[in-house]
Amino acid sequence: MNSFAMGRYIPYHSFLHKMDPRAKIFCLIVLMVAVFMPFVSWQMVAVMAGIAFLLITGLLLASHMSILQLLSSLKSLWLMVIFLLIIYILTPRNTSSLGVAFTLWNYKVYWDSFAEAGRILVRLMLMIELSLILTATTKPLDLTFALEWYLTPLKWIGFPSHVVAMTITLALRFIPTILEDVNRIMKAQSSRGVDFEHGKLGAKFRAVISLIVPLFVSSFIRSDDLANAMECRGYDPKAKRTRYRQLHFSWLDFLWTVLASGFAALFIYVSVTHFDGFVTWLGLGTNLV
Amino acid sequence: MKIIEVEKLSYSYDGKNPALRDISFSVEEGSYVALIGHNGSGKSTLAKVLAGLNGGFFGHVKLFGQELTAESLPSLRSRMGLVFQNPDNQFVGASVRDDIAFGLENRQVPSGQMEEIINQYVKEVGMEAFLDSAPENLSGGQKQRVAIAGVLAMKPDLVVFDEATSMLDPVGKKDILDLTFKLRQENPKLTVLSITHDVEEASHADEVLVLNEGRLMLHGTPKEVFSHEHELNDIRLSCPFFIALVNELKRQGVSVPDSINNERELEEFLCR
Amino acid sequence: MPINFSKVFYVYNPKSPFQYEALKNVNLTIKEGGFVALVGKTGSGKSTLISHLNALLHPTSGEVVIDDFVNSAEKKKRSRDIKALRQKVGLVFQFPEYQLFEETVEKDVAFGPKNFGVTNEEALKQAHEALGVVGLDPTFYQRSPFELSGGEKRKVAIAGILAIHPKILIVDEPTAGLDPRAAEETMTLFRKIHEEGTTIILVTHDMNLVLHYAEEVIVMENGQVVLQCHPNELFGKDLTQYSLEVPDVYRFARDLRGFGLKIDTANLHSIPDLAIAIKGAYHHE
Repeated sequence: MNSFAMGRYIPYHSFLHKMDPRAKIFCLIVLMVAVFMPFVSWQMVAVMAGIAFLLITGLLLASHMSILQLLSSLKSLWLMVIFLLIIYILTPRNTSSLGVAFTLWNYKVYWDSFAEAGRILVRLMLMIELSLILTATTKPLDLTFALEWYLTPLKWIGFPSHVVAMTITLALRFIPTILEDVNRIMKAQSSRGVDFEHGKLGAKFRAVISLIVPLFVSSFIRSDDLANAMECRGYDPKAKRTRYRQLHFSWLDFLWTVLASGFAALFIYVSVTHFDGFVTWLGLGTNLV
Repeated sequence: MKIIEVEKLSYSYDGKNPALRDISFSVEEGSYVALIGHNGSGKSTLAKVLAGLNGGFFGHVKLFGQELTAESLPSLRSRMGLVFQNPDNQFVGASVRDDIAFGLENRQVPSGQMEEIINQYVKEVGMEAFLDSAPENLSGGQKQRVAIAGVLAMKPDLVVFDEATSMLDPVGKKDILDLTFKLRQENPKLTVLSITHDVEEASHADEVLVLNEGRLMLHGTPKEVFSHEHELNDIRLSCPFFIALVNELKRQGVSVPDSINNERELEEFLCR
Repeated sequence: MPINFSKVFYVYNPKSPFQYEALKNVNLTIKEGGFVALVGKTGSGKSTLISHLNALLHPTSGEVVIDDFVNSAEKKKRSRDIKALRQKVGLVFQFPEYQLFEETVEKDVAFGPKNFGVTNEEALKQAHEALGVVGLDPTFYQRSPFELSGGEKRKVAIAGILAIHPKILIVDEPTAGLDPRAAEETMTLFRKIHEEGTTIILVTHDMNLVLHYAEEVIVMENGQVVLQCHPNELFGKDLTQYSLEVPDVYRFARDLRGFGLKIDTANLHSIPDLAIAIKGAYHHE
């Protein structure tokens, strides 16, 4: 597997790794809200984005993700941003707050287009970084526990959240096993003359069928066997079960939650009150057209 | 006490073709019984009936003196542990720890007690070095050992091995057989039913039941059962090495007294 | 079609924390037409080795030559026609029944030949022939492979490889999970195919099979070939160094020797052989 694969858990001992996954999810959601707040002027956007960027990238690096991994996971964004930039440039605009950048064959290209594309880029980057922080510092199983915890209230309206959690846990456990199955089946069919890489559409389709059908069959057999084994070991989805792995909130989780909420509250305040203070304070006044 | 009592058991999957016909046998507490038969003889079907996975059978099945019904099943299941054939398809947890814990969670064992129980039984099966290993990093034999730990943690009175070694390499097979032997020594009251087509394995049991086409064809001590070499060959089974050798020696004109019970005794007899 | 391994190394996941050297300097020649057993404990490199024989894997360094196909570490020297190689070298994996996927038995067995360019009609004919060889009669042709028993599925899977008429047949643990009679039938089938001229390479843990069927045995340990000789020669040695099981007849004969009874083990292949040898030793007393 690609060691730079996006979303992979990176074992380490950072404070983020030790944080309770439920608190982590809450903090990340709250920070995402902050990232999406609209601000009154481009300068404010730049300032707030800068703050958010420093904070979030800092957190990401604290989770032991290397800069190289970070950059490679953002690679896919560039194409989309350039595409968006072109659309923004080509969209006719009536007002501009930032002025003309340059003129191309009598067509005025405004800085606003770049700013709009830039804002989307920054938001996307921050969203990806926030997601990476979650997946890099949290084991998939812990994520499932946290998810189950959040879904617990739904039990009261009949939603089987613990069954969903068990399903996800089992799926995670079987991913490597099924990958091995895929590998094995591909080798067996290749030995029978199937070419998985080259060939016309028809041949490729048959090749895929020769992989998917046995995979489905063996997966069904696995689930049948598994269900029997689970039943024999006393599993009853409707019955109460105790839990081996326990999640514990610590005062640190409380602290981070408060800090993250405070940070988000600040952003919301700045956004809602159309705050412009930083600009004059930092002397970044501009000549608005 | 009779741990298993089966009386005139018949079962069919589709209502037309009988998979089990009129089977009757019993298993005493503390004994090690091997149930052998060719693939398709009905042995796995029988295991599943005993496990409560195949309901709707005709006849009577009593476990621990109690009739097996839908109502009694949960309590009977708590006294019985099953180890199945495919090491992967019964491994539920993301790690060895979690898998052993699964059974404990189902029985609502208090979370505080689980760690100790897990540590105790993982040592019983010799897997303490692998507590945090994921199943994809374990061999078949290791996974089966974990399955056994999970079963033992429930302190069962009966353990049923449903072809538990047939997908293992020789090292794995030996591991499981040695472990079974050790468990029986440590716990003489534990009853073991081993379903297999490996006749060498069966030759170590106290009693052997032979299934053919859904019927119980033979039963008795290994020596008694395996003396029917021709009948066994006819139903696609073979004899353990030792017995096949004795039969061949007799054919060659070397007489071997009936009192000889195993390889060692045969060697001593031949070299006296 | 001789097979030749020359200074072959194979490394899984090179340059990663999961790097693992599975083959270390393998030099090996397998003659045409033999019945060779490849043994060694799990992890010794057997599966990696056989995967080189039909180019599922390319060596990390060194070269494997199968007939006229060069499976070289260097891309330039590598032969192109992998399909032709896979028609000549048939590989039956462990538990091959997992590869069945077609709607009917005959279609699944015909799948192989069709991939190698044979017409539909001809492929079905070869499928029927192969099914006959493994002992499945025409009543099986139209049935779905998924409704068959385990043993029948295995026969279909083996037929699927036989239908492409390979010159070299590699079988990995062909008797795993089979009951004694089915195991014997399967091995008898391979012996028959061998007698008709196919080279057979049997990968197995079962030393009794090696003793009973193989003409030559190759022992692997830690990614290297440590021994290549006749089975009787192998079993005359101390096998604990290779972590191999001793065949029952040899174990017994050795025990008898330990007690002072002189048993000639040079030609021991089966229980009748052992019984005769014991009788012979008696007459010398």
